Amino acid sequence: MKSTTLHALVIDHHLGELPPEVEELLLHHLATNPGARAEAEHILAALQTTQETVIAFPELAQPSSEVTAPALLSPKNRAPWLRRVAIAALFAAATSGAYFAGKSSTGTANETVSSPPKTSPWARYRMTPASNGSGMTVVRVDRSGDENIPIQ
Amino acid sequence: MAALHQQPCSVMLTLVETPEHPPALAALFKDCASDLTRYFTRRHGDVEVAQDLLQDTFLQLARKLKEGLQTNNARGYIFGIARHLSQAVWSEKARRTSLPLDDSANEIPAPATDDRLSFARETIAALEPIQREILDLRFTQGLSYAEIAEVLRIPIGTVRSRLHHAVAEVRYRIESQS
Repeated sequence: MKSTTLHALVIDHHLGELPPEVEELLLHHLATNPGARAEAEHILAALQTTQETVIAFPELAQPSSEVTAPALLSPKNRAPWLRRVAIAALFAAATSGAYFAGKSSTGTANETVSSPPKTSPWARYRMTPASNGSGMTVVRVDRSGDENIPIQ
Repeated sequence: MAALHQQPCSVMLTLVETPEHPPALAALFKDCASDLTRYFTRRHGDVEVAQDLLQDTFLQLARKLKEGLQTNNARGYIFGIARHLSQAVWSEKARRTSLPLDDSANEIPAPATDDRLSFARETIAALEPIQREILDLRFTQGLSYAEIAEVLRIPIGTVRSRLHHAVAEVRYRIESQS
């Protein structure tokens, strides 16, 4: 079970928000999986802390709360503007690369392209002119080794 | 940890008045008045303001009943009215409040707490206002996901995901500090 799924189920179960059939599945999973049980304890501890904090500090419910020190957020939530800029840059690079690749391409739909390096975590796409001249087509370049792979 | 799903306010599920049943408004007042008073007092810190808002809440509800209101989420609906009135008070206060010469007069001294709650407080304070409100409605008022969704006029899935995310943020902060 994914950690995010377990996180959600444990919280919902403790708050009494799980349907009975899902609750039964969760309890069975926890009973048969020591790792999940340990993880559930951490989740419940965080839930307890959250509840205590909300009760102890009523001002947190107000529209704006003063924070005496910058809050440390999880990495995925740091500087969201940076993520947007990165996405925009990737998009610009992808579209400009596809444009120039299309201009220099011989235009055959069955051309082969080299696959991206194995180290790259991203799927790769390429825009190529359709062989019948009807426009552009978007194809995915698979990541499966160094051999060239024909585009279908 | 106490069972959070046990709600203190057992409210009729419908607000439709019928000759066979007691007036819904009176029953709702009897069941929810203390919860709402606590809700307003936490948000405004003033018992008189809380009482005024409580009366305004039920006046609005009475008006809606007269107009033919029907709902299967009475508690969520009435907390929605309460929230709306509370927000209006805050907005009015923000418009009237002038900047003090000494900012320290407005600082609320935090109660003495361990580091764990301090870190959690900072993390929660940095969340979106609606996320903090979800936490408050759940942990201090005991509202269910469905009732919170009714109060805030957002999907139940959003309530669920925002609450999960808040707990994850608190956990990350606590564990990264330890």
